[in-house]
Amino acid sequence: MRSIKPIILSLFIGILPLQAQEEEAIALSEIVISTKAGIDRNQLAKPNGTLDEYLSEKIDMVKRGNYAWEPSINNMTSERISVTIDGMKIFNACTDRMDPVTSYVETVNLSKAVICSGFDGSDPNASNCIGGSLDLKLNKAGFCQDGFSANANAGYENNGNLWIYGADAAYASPQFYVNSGIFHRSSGNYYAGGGKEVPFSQFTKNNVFANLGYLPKTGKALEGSFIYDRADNVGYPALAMDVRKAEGLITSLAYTAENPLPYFYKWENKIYYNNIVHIMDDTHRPDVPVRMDMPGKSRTGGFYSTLHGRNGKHRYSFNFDGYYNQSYAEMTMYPRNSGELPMFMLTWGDIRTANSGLFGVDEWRITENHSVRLSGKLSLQRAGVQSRFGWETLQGYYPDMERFDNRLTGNLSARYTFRKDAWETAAGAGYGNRAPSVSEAYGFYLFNTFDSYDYIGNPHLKNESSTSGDVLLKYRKGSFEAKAEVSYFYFHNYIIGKPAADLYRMTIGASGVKVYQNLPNASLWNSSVSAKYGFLEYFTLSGKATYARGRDNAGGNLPLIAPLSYNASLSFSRNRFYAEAGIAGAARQTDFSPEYGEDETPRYLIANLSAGYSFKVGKFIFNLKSGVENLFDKQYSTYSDWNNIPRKGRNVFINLGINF
Amino acid sequence: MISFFAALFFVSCGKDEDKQKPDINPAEGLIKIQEFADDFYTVTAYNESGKWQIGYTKVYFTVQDKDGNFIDNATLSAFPEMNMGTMKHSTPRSEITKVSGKPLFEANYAFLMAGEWDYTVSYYVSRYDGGFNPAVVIFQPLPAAKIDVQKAYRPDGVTERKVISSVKAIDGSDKRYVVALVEPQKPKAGINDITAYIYERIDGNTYTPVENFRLKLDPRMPAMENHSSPNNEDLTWNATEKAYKGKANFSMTGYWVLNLILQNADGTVLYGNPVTEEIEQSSLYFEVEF
Repeated sequence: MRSIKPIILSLFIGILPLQAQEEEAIALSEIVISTKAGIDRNQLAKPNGTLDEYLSEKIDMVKRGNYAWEPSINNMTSERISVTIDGMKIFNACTDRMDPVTSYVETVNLSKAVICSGFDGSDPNASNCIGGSLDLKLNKAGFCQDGFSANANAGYENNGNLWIYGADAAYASPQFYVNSGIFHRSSGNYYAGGGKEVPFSQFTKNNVFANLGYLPKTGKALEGSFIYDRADNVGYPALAMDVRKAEGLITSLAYTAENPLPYFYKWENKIYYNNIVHIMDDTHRPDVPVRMDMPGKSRTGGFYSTLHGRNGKHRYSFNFDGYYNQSYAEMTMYPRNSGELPMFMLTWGDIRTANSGLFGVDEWRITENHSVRLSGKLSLQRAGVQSRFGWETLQGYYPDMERFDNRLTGNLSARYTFRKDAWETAAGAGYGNRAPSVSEAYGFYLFNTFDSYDYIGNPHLKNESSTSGDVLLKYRKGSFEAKAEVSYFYFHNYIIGKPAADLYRMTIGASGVKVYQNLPNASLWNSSVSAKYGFLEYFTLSGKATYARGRDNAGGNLPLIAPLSYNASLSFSRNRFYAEAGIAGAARQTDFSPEYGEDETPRYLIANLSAGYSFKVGKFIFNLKSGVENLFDKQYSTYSDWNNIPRKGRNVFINLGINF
Repeated sequence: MISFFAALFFVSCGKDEDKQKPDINPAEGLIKIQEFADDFYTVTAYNESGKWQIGYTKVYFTVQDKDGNFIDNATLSAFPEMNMGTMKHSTPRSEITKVSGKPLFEANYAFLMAGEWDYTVSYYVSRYDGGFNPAVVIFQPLPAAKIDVQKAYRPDGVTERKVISSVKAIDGSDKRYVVALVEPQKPKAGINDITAYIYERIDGNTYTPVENFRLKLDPRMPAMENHSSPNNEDLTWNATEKAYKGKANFSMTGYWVLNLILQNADGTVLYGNPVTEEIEQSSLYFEVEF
């Protein structure tokens, strides 16, 4: 799983400097408005091989097709982690989890990703998260002296005939900035190792964005952002349906003030709105038991207001946030007997969620060597079924359900860090809970291809809670660095779908129906070791291995837990030339969960090669990159691939970027 | 003019309210099906669809004199008869009763088959001075009429919809029963009240409602591999409503088959069979599509 695609290969997460612990420090340090946070042109010039440096060991990507990948932190996905875009809440519109919110942004929209693990307290806007959070920072030109700049990019991959074009331009001055761009990606079906075509893995995607900033007076900034992202004809090899249209409109308006109050150096305020439309149908599928349409939409509006402060050895932030989400999805099935009326149901019966929370964090640097961080958040959530039709069909399953309910959630965490000489060690502990997600509480016959079950939500679910702890040990001396990390989560009322033998499946061919239940308890163990060594001036050798284990209350395995995975690379970097050879693989998945629809995934090992060269002609900087993924054309799939759809076979890519 | 004076007279007399102004139709909101008339009175049948239809249908009647006044103080009876050439028979039905508070009458029919039925309505209008003797009421039959009972169709307008079933018990008794679906008339996704009538056929003209039987219910959706839903309730005798009441949970819109098993008060199966993988439908069923 660590073999995330190289930078230019359009998986945006690849180009983001993902630095978990480091990033937290930045998030709480002296960021003032005038500091340029803007576009880092070099990130696009960075050779592919540095990807692994960027990728935190905590993040993993669960694959649902060629197109959208879902982030996983500590082996937990969307229900248990918070994914925000510049602090904005955004929720997917596909009931089959085919459109993780990360699919509505592109590399060009973003400058970096901030990852938090567990309740480690650095993402004030995270709500209902237990496993961690991912905040994608927008790529703003920033208030700086850069003046005018522009960038153009083109890339090609032979496997799937994938084309990438992008262009963006920016103007930045200390009082005003604007940057805007367009981006296009399209791909045909890709081929698995061995040359087998994977049907319905095509996609086309376009993205337009703009950021605007204005400093009416020193220390006061107004900023706006806009992203319109639209994918068409996205194939889902694991499903019997495709996406006709997946559209995201993401907008925000922010006001930031420096030194608003004594002991506070920054006050950030933002209002935002996003609208996601996801339309699935099966018009391109030759033979399906029942033709169906599945449109879905998710609209979210919200705000946050964050105060950052500093006093002596303390750095602190306080945050007040709120959002309102509407999730609506319907399914219409057309019987083979065309005289019969279409079958219609609401799979998300216009579910409304209002959530508001208060957050605080304090980092206390006691001495040079010791620091402590405490954080907490308390949120109130009201959610329910707005549509009478949706409510009445759910009542058919839960006759005594309330139409709306209120929940109180929150978390508390503490972290201690000790740094001395080459050593750094940290230990953290936290407790928190989350409300069930829209699908977990109110989903109605949501088909999950992964285990081939129809899922029905359960409005009577209790909040899921987790007590977690983690330990980090890091050693850095000269060009050698080694790190070991473990985390442990113990859940109460762990939410998971359990088979309900007395219910009839709705989806033809499904194995049955699962209803979300609270398991009394469950546990999840994550561990990783990594090392990096630079030698002979230009060479770097690095490697990493991760291991995780999840168990339910009966000692059975939890699903979607990565098996032992590893990667290693040798890179060479000199002046403007860079080259890397790497391997990535996973051991046989022995701790799979048949109960949750998993089968054993065989081990795999793939090899990748890449090289990059950067040169200058007049004012223009050219970045040329090329490489081969899956060099030996292995056929493989990972533990998280739905229906064991194989991943890409050998793939040769080339990319050219021009900046001035 | 005459009716105006007549109305004035009755109003001035204060007591009699057996006639109402012609412009207030007590069947307002219903659709006229058919009129039956002689030289004195007109009896008009109404229901929600404006049609005689197979299976359960509730029919309302008004009685008007030749001036158009609605008669409150009337008694009606009617006899539907299907002439099949070699034999004649009637159909399960209730008496025609008065709707309290307005000059309107109601009856339930459960027409066993579509087609042309002979239909004879008789009336008795009491004298408004209240001076008649009920013991000697003589109904005046209106001229014999035909009614055209329509088939029930599924929404495609072509396929007939099963809404009534006449069965011979399989318990060896050879008794015959009629089961008619009453509700839901307007099905919706979610839990629906479901109502049925069960009659025992005494002879071709006599059908008596039976009590304390049970209709085991299993709704299925044939287009979706015959899936079912939870929280359905068998139809049991409701003494207040004098009907069989149960619940059907339609998890989505579309075409549903209500598979039934008819049991008597002892639980003996009189008709129908359980739905299995092999046998996808009971021999006793109704159809709902919305």
